[in-house]
Order: sequence, then C-alpha cells, then structure tokens
Amino acid sequence: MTYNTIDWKTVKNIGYLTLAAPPGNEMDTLFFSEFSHLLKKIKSNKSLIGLIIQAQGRHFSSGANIDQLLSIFSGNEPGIPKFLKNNNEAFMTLSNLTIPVVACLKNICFGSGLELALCAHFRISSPNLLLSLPETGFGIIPGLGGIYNTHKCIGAAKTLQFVLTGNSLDAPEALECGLIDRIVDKNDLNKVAVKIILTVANNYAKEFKTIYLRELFAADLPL
Amino acid sequence: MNEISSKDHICFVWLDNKPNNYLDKPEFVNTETLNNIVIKNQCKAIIITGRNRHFSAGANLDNLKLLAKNGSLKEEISKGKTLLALLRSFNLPIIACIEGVCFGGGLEIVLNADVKIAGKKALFAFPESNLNLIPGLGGTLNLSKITGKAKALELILAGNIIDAETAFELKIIDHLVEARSGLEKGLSLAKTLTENKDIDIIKAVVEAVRNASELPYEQALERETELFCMLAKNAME
Repeated sequence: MTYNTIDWKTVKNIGYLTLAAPPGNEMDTLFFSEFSHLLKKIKSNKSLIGLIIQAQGRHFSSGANIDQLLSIFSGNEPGIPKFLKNNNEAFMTLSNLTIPVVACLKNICFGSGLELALCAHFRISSPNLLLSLPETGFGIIPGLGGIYNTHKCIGAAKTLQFVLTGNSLDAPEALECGLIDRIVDKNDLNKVAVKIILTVANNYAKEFKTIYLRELFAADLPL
Repeated sequence: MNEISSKDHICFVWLDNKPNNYLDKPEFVNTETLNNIVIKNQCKAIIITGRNRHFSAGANLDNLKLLAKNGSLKEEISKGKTLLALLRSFNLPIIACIEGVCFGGGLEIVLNADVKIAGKKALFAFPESNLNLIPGLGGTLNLSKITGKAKALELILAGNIIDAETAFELKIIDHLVEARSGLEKGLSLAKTLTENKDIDIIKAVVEAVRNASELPYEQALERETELFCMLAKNAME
C-alpha cells in the first residue's frame, strides 16, 4: 500500500518513515490515519533493525491542522473520539518499539510534529531548528504524549514553562536542556542516524529495552 | 505569623515566624483559609516563600515534643498532610522561592512545589535523623523521587547541610538566582506562566505534567488526551 502523506521504504533492514507533505508537513486527518496504518505494519515487521523518522522539504513539521482537529469536537460525542484513540495507539506503539528509533529534525518542529519526534529514542537535528508546543495559545494542550515525554526529557519546572508559554527553543537551547540529543550538519543527518542504528544493532541485543537505548545515547554511545 | 494573601490572581503563602520561621505545627497555614482565598480570587498560581531572612528552619521541636506527649502528634501531622494535599489539588503551578535556611519541614513544603527557585546563599538539609526522627510530611518519598534513592538516603541519614549550588546539581532546585532575588524571579515566572491564560488550561497542563512523574506512561497518556478533549470541546462551544 502506498500513502499520500508519508513515504515509507526499507533499506538494509532500516525503515525510513518520511513525512511527505512539504513544505510544512502539516499533520491532517489523512496523515494520522495513514500513520496508524503504517505503525501497525512496522510493529509486526520483525526484520527491521531500526527506524528513521525524517521529513521532506525545509521543515520537519508544523504540527496538526488545528481547525480540522477541533472540528472533530463540534458534535457532542462524550469521551475520547475514536480518531484520537487511534492516534494515541499509534504514538504509543512508536514509543514502545524495541528497535532504535531516530528522529531527524530541521527547522520548524511544532505541536504534534514535536510530539511525534518525542516518541523517538534519539533526536538529532540540523543547526537550524525551532521547537515549540504552541497548543495552549489555541486554548488546548498537547494531547499525544507531548507533555509526558517533554517532562521525561527536561523535568517538571521547564516543562511547565515550555508548555504554558508556548515559547520556542532553538537547537542549542534544545540540546542544552535535553530535548534533543545531538546537533549535526543537515547533510549528515541521515548518515548519523544510520550510524546510531547500526551501532545499537551490532553491539546490543535486539530486545534491548528502549529505556537503555536512551541512556546509552546520553552516556555518549561510541559513534 | 504565617499568612496567606492574594494579588493579581497569584496566591502567596508567607512563612513568618521570626527569626527563623520555625513551623509551630505541621498545618502551617489554615487549610480552609487557603481554600477560600484560592477559590475566591480565582488564583492561577501559588507562591510559597519566607518573610525575614529565611525560608524556614523546620519544625519547632519543643512544640513537636509537646504534641507527642499529649498524644496529638499523629493527628497534627495528618492535618499537615491534608494541607499539602489541598495545595496540590488545585492543579495550579506551585512555586517555592527560597532564601536562607530551608531545613526539615521547610524542605518538605518545598518538595511539593513544581518550580523551586533559590537564592545562591540558601542552605538545605533534612536534620531529623540527628534527632532520632525522620521527615514526616512526605519528604523521604518526594526527595528520592527527585534525587534517586542513593542521594536521598545520604541526605536523610547523614543530615548534612548542602548549599544551593549542590541542591541545584541534585535537581532539588530548578532555578538558582542571586541571593535575595528568589521571590522576584518567582513572581515574574508566575506571571509568565499564567498571564493571558485561561485557568482551565493552566490546570490541565499542571495535571498532565504531574502525571508524568506519578502515573505509568499508558495512563498518563490517556489522561493527557482526555484533558485535550475536554479543552477542545470548550474551544468549540
């Protein structure tokens, strides 16, 4: 099956999930349903040794289409709409993968785009980057684990400030506080991502738990 | 006397018991008064700080002995815990601004805050074990959540005094500022966090942030999405 908003391929057992709606890679309802479908496929693919999440064009992603997202709530359906439950499940599947997942970020990475990146074990970025969770400015909050995962990286005090102000962080700031793991030249993003995956694949048991993957990277995994 | 006030939708809890702000009892301000002030003034953030030179040197030991003697210690501690639970139940950002000494019960209050700001000359300790006691208001639990078990054991069993810089390294403190400018920083931060923000959004974010350290991933994520849906519905009405 081919997708309209995502480009999916595997090369030498590494999966490449490429956001393919440039220039902004806005995440609309079609994207989310394609993403859910693809994640099920990735989860059951036992030959993968790693996953790279990247984006076509200048930016990683400007996040969800807010108007479209809010329109889901114009009816009076109680509880969590099925659409969001599916998104949640897909994001959780991504977080719980036991193969290394590397997100390659660049320029704009806002809202759900950042929430997606936060599901990865490693985040590497080009020197040009702006990270933000601007949801509170629209009267909502990040709802796909963005708050949980940000807290895991930078703690309660900074998360409150990041989420409640909606202020953006550039690459050095994001590196300093731990929201991204490395800054690399934009032409090297792919090379470094592959290197991370191969290092983990060649040196550690496949079942290695995701938490250790993150800690290894924090402890300067030999790259 | 300890006091609660409110200005521009920010609630202030002042520890004030000259000279070292000893806490006469675990319920350091009246629980009901706190509730009334926060609700009545539609407070969006809570700042806890000390008047005089210090945050607080901890419990007044003579009082504590008296309470133990007349058999009401357990009840008084449980009132203190109720107060701290109420403080957190508002789901508003709690900001502690610390100068001077912050020992024992004082540190236990601080560990309930979401954002902890200290002037450079602040000092921290859990001296209870030197007196054959332990922190009794959740301090053991809250400290080990922040520093890990090893450091928490060391701080609680050795009872050493650490300076603000060490506390910052251990993540007990989130912001280290010039001596005597903690409150100023706390106030500007409270404004940054809450200005032009609807109270429902503030509460949702605070709850979701706290859930991140208190709930397993799946539960925290589901609640985050629930809160999102609640706000999205409001936004559409």
